[in-house]
Amino acid sequence: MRDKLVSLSEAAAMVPSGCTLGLGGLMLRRHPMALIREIIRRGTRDLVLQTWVGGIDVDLLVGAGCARRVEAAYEGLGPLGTAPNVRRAAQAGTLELEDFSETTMISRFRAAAMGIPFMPTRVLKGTGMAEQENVRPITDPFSGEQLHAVAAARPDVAIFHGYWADRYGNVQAPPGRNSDDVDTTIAKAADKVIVTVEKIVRHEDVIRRPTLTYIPHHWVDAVVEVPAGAHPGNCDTLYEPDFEALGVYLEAARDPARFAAWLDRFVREPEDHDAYLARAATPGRLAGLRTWSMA
Amino acid sequence: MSAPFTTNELMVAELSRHLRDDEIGFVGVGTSGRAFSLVVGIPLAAGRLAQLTTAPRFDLQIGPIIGPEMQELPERWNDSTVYSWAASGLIDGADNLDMFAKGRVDVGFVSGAQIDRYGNLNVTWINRPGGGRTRLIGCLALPEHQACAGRSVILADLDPQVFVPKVDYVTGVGWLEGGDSRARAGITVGGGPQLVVTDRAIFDFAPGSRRMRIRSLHPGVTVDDVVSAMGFAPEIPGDIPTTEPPSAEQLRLIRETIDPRRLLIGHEPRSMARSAA
Repeated sequence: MRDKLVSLSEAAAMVPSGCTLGLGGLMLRRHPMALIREIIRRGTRDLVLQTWVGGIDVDLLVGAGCARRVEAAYEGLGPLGTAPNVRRAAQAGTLELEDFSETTMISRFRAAAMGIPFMPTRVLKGTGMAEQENVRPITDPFSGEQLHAVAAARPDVAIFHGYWADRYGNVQAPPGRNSDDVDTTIAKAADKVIVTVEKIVRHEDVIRRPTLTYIPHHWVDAVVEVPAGAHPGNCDTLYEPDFEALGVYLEAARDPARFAAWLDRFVREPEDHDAYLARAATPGRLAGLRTWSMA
Repeated sequence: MSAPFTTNELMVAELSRHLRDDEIGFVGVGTSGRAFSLVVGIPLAAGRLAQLTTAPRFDLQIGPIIGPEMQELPERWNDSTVYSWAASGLIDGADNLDMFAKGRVDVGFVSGAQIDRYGNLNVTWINRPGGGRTRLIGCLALPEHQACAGRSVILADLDPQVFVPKVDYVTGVGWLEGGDSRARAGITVGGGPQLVVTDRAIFDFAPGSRRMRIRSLHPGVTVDDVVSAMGFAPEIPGDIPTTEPPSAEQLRLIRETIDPRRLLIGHEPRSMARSAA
């Protein structure tokens, strides 16, 4: 095993401009937001984002001008509605979107995870998605049935936010975590995997509960310790979404000029994650979001 | 003047009559406000009402939450409360969707920003009158609901901007261009949309043409009320019954047992005052 513990800026340097970037999490939940802010600070551009059910992660990267294309089953903020930056960029024609249903986007990651070029699906017949670049008609060689092939989605790098890990990148979750995501599948699909976690723990503690590992060190290239790294989203079981900070984001995102000011204040000016947190929330509010403490 | 029941209560009672023993109903998780009541709250309340009355073995799942304990509704509807709900299982997202694609969901509950006369749904892109398009949310599992569920039930408030002659983009397939076009397109897993539950009327799809057809009118609602609130003319049978109002027992169950805090069906349609008066 190799020591994979790196800093946030070292991790962000592993995401080059122009690459295909896989994103973990769902809607407001468990996105690697601190790493995304660092990627934006570096001036990374022209990313192709591949995710399952995208959220505040996708909207922030698009709003900061880092992405040229998104492939996903959804871009939105769950209970907070449409993703404002994605909507504006898509309507202006500055962002390409390729839409997939939930099962077909999973199939694309699964194909990459298995090292095969595509997966067949029955779901897209008759839909608008059937006409897209990464969807082609095929014939089942056994039955002759007409199906669609969806191309493998193989991110150059995929980034995730997890609960805790050892320095080797064995990422673990508490038994009560919400597994309504496909982080494990996306991690298998990607060529490189970076995971930010709330806490780095001793390897000796990880190995006593091996069934809690959902992304094992074999797949991981770098791991970063970032407490509250999913803020303003949530890390389920540990803390809730910060709806006050999300409200500030949404208000700013209505207007490009105001969003540029928001980016300066909350992404470009703070020199690190702690400085960001100090601007984005009071310690009391952060404490109030906590639902469980990792002793 | 107070109505004896609200529009949502009527929609819940009617929908419950269409849910049967040993079926699995799939309800999504996201959304808020009126959209939440339509595609999450009303189906959950109707499923629970069916369990308590006509279909005790009707089985529910909320996304990957299998068999939630409906008598233990969460205090609030957010990530930590919904996903710590007492339930038979909370399974991985991908495992959950596999079973949907395989055809193991009997009834899906859906809506759309646009719904056309053949029950095709759009939540992806809308054409603007002066040119250009408005981006919506993408797809989620709407394609699976419409292609793979044993049948889908569409829930929406009547509005000419929503009930349009033809959707601008097909996110979820209904009966496509009607007739046998769905079968000709090779859509073989699921049964397609069968019922449309709205704030003013219930619809089904006419055999043969597969055009949306008025099945019943809510109490006090006329055919003109319905047609004027739609962007296309539905099929209008000669003899249209009135949607059966909720019984005293159904109302008692909804108000006292199923949703006493109005967490599920708190957002009534804008047309409520009119249709329930």
